[in-house]
Amino acid sequence: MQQRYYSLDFLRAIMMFLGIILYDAQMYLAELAIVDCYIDPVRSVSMDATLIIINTFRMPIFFSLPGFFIALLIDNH
Amino acid sequence: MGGLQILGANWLATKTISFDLSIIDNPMKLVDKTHNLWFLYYLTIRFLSLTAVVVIWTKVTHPADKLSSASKTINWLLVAVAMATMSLLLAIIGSGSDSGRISASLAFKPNLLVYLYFGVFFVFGWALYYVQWVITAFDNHCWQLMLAAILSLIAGITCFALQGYPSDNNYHAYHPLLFVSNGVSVTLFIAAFIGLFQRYFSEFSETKRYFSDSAYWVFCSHSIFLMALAIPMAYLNWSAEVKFLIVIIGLATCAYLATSTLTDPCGWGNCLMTDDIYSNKAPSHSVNIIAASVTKNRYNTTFIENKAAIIMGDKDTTHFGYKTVANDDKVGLVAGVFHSVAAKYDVMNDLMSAGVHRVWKRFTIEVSGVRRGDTVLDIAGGTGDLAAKFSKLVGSEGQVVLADINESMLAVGRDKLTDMGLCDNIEYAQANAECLPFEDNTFDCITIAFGLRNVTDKDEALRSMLRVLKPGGRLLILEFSKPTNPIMEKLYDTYSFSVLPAMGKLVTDDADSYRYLAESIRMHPDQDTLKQMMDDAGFSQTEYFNLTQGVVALHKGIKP
Repeated sequence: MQQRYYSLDFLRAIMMFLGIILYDAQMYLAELAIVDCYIDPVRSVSMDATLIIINTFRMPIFFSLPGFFIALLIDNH
Repeated sequence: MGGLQILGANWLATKTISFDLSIIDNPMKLVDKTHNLWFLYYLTIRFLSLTAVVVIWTKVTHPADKLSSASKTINWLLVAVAMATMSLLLAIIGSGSDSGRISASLAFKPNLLVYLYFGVFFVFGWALYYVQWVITAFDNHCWQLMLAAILSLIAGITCFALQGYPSDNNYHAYHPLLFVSNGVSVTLFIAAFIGLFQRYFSEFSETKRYFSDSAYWVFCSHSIFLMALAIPMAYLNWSAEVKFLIVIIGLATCAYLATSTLTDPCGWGNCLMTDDIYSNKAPSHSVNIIAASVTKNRYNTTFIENKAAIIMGDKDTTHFGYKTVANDDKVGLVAGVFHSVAAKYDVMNDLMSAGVHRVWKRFTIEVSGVRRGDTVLDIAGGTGDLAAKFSKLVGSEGQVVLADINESMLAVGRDKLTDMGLCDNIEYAQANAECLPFEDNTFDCITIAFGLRNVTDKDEALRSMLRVLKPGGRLLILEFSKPTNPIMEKLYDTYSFSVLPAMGKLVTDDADSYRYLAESIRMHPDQDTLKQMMDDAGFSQTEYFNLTQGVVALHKGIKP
């Protein structure tokens, strides 16, 4: 049985959890106009900064990992 | 998701929990979007559009065979060119956007730029599978990559702040810098994170595996909990940061409660988890200290034969943390602790002390007075921090012996030092400090850093060290001690009994070992008691130095 890629699996999980932090920050954005379900009357620029920082790497990593694992699936089959 | 949006809009407009659709300006927007699942939407499109092409290409060119045969060693030039190309592609695709990067598109109609921008990452991941040695390269330099990524991000944010609007004069000067910085920072972040996780999280642990699996259902259900926590706080006059933190803590609590239900064998949700995944624990190491025999390692350094490594004391009991255990049992129990933490020992030292342990060790080196040609014994040397420094100080005429009772720690230290190229003047001995397997009057200096408190019979160990020291030789004991400042003592107590076990659980999946660490520190003799023990053992000119308000103390004694 092939060894599981624990590091990449855990990286994927952390990026998913970072997404939740990002959606939390999204409810309190001061400058960026992103409204999903709800936006709070109280806002802060620090939430914009949180969102920008997480956004820089989260989705790129999120798209890289499926590329890796789809290659693995195809290779195995 | 649409329902939550209607609820959110109603609450903001009327402070009532209702689902009045007339509040929404354009209700069609609620259904004409992929919401938080845009990622899966684009992934599906990309998979369908790319897979056929890549499969055919793979069948024809066999890239895996070519790359694996061509890449026995890390080809840095290839890694650098690939990363530069990726950065450039991202910069070009992102150049049309004011932010220099492409953001998510939630519309059902696919956006070409989004497809291309995130497609670069997808192809990167695909290629990475065929050149997995690159992950080792990322691992080797993960912190440098992370630093470079953060600097690039800061450069990008600065350019974004300075560029203004497209009509401004500054825009054309700063915008190219912005999209190039973004391309570089994103590429470096991916490499850095993959390297970091490969370095620190590549081994199985039940906690990590459970965390990874639970991410799916947490992610799928988070919106409801997010709203449930955020909406009641809508009209409270608290800062955004406080509300943000309350939501995070609330979500973490929900996740914890769900976890304890799901992992409870009698819990309702246990059927969702398969037992075999979470019981796949690595076999525990057998403790066989006496059997240490001469072993050649991969670089021909030798373990010193130590068949008389252990002599069990005749006294009845001793301390193991706060527990009282039979003397015969303590060696095995301590060995179990260090077998468990050996692989992550260095990481934990850095995390627990915020890197300050390096300063304590540096101070020990300074006080040791070790010079070229000396013979040095580093007892309980663990992963070889002190031995590495001593090896450089004593030079080729000198000799350093790294001794540890624990085979796992010794193996980690040996691999680390040989990987650092230190193999000419270092030997390794699996040895018990109470009965050191060396001739009398052998060493100019002996150090024992964070090891003495684990020794069963400390007086016997001190006498053994005195025996193998040359007359005039120095013994240096670096060990946790009693804080001299009462405020520091309180803070230290809280930190070591609350934070350390939690940190140990997260990084090594072993809270008990770090709880033992805290308890064993409290049971260790304080500064004056240890100094008296050294005097009683026969050392002269004994003294100690308090470091970090007495959290750690360095004791020094000379063999008369």
